[in-house]
Amino acid sequence: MIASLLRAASAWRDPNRAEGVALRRRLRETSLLSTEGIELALTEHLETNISPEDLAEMRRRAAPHAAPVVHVMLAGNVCVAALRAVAFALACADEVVVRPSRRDPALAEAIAEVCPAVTLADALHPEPDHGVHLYGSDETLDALVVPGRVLRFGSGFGVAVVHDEVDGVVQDLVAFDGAGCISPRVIVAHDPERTLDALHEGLAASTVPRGALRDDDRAALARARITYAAVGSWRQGHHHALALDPSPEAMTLLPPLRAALVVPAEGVERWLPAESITVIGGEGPMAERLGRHAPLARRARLGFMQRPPLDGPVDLRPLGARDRSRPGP
Amino acid sequence: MSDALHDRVQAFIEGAGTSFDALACDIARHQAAHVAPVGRLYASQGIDPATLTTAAAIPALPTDVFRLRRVAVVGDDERVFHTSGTTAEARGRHPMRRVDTYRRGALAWGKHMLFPDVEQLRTVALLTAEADAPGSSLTFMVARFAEALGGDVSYHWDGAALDVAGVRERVGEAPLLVAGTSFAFVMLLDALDGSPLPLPAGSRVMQTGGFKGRTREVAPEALREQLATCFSLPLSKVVAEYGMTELSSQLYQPGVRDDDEDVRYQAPPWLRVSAVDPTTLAPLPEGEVGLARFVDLANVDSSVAVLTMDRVRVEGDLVTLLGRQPGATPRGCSLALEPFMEPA
Repeated sequence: MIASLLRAASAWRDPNRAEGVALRRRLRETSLLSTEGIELALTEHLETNISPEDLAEMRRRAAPHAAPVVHVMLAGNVCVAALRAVAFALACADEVVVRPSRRDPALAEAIAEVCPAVTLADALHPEPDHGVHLYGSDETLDALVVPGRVLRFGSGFGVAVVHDEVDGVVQDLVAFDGAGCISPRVIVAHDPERTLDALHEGLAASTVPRGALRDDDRAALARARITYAAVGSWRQGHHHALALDPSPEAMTLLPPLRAALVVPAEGVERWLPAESITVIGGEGPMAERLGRHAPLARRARLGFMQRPPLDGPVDLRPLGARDRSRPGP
Repeated sequence: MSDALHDRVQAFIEGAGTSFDALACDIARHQAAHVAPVGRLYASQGIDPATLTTAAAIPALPTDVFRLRRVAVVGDDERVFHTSGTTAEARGRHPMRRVDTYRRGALAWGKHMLFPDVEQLRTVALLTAEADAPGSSLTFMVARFAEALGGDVSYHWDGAALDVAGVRERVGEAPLLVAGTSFAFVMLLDALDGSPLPLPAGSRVMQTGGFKGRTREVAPEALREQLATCFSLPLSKVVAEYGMTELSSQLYQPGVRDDDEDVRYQAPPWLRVSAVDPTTLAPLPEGEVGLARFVDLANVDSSVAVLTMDRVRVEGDLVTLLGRQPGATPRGCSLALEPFMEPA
């Protein structure tokens, strides 16, 4: 079933095929990304194949969570995220019921059209022996009381470690406008001032515009701007925003609007919450140190933070930040 | 260093005819020189503190900065108040070099709004005792109220559970001030399960704060009505207080003093509230809804102008609270709460 799902994904990726045209049209209605952002997501980030090794790993991770039916509640607008979530659910069960994001149901709808094992539902009613995969913020998931065998994929963010080159992290940040749970929201830099300027320049040169901002987005950016004016530095372009905190004492995240916080490497483990880190991008001793700090986070080269192997959920932390006592994927 | 400013603010609180704007600007100049984040904020906006002439022109520091940096003059702190918080994010803190200005302002406005008619009240605090919660500005304030009202005070929250039996025992014949957080009051109502707990005539209730996921949430006016019913008090004697760790002054619903049921809040003369546009941060005309911007003269050694995330409508000296400003549009994994299960 995963193979047929990926064959369909190949058609969605192709802008010249009818399926690809239709999905693009639908995503322009539902996604908060720009047209170029949608194109980038479909052509560069939608999974269309899986290696035997990754398939084996996916199945290994799914095995403890095998169930007759898996119910999936999807999060918002990482517009290609439904594919991996459904693929993992299909590795766990022969029948999958999906409650799509109400705001952006496009890919889930497309999947249900081509995949007989997948049905959509406005609400989920799992039986006690069913699996339930919940994707969303910790606040959302904490508020749910759900029967069944629950796997939570809660709030999280990516951390990129930058030495000199910023091209890779620019790509990672442009994808999905930096809104995914593996998007780099914190950038650990050996030379923060230089990295801030280089990132500002690199993001300004991106040919993929950010999705249109809404009033609440503009307000969140305005607040972040004056907050970081008081704390460190702020750079804002037409389609991005960056802050520098030269001596961070506590964790904070910029709004998920192609925006990131640049911080120095020294002492980062003191304030960066390990349990919230989903992926660490970059290489070298600092990335290794962070890897020991957050051992459940995926590791990736810069430029590939948003392209993890299709070997399971993107978020490998067992059950989100709140509860590590139960086995995860 | 700022002792003269403290003296001037305390004189203002006592009714001395100083100019609010002049005093606010003098405090801003002191802070620009001695409170690092304030100085950086002014510099980033090209504000020369020497040229400030109106409180409206003072850049307001977002409350977020209190989580990220020390917002206070350098030196010994008499107290450090902490924000409450249930998230993984760091809690904010408000160090105070001197607390006497805070105390004088809180007592003056508390007496004006909450106990203008009595010299003595027994205080029942649904709060942790001050010795166990030295970082709570709310507990500090209520403890000072209790001292001013005769010193008969009891605390009934241990950080995890409410001492309902203790609250019941405290209800005697002399009037009470029952003060606590909204979630503690909801816990009390739930524990009483509909049975009344009539308070003696002359009693009053002060509730403050939100729920932070600790209990079921009850709409403010519904909670007010439920408390009035439970305690057999007129609705006007159940009032809400609005305060925050980042401020040194408080607002109250005027019911106890005015014997009305107005849901709006009144600020003291030393606290000026305005609404600003959330995007441009420019001041809005009276009556329009925007983010609450406070100029609090009692914030002598931190930031005299503070920008919050609370949405307000300001009409004269009355403020309507309209909830929190939402963050950026939920995207990606920041999914807003949507129902998981609905009726089949």
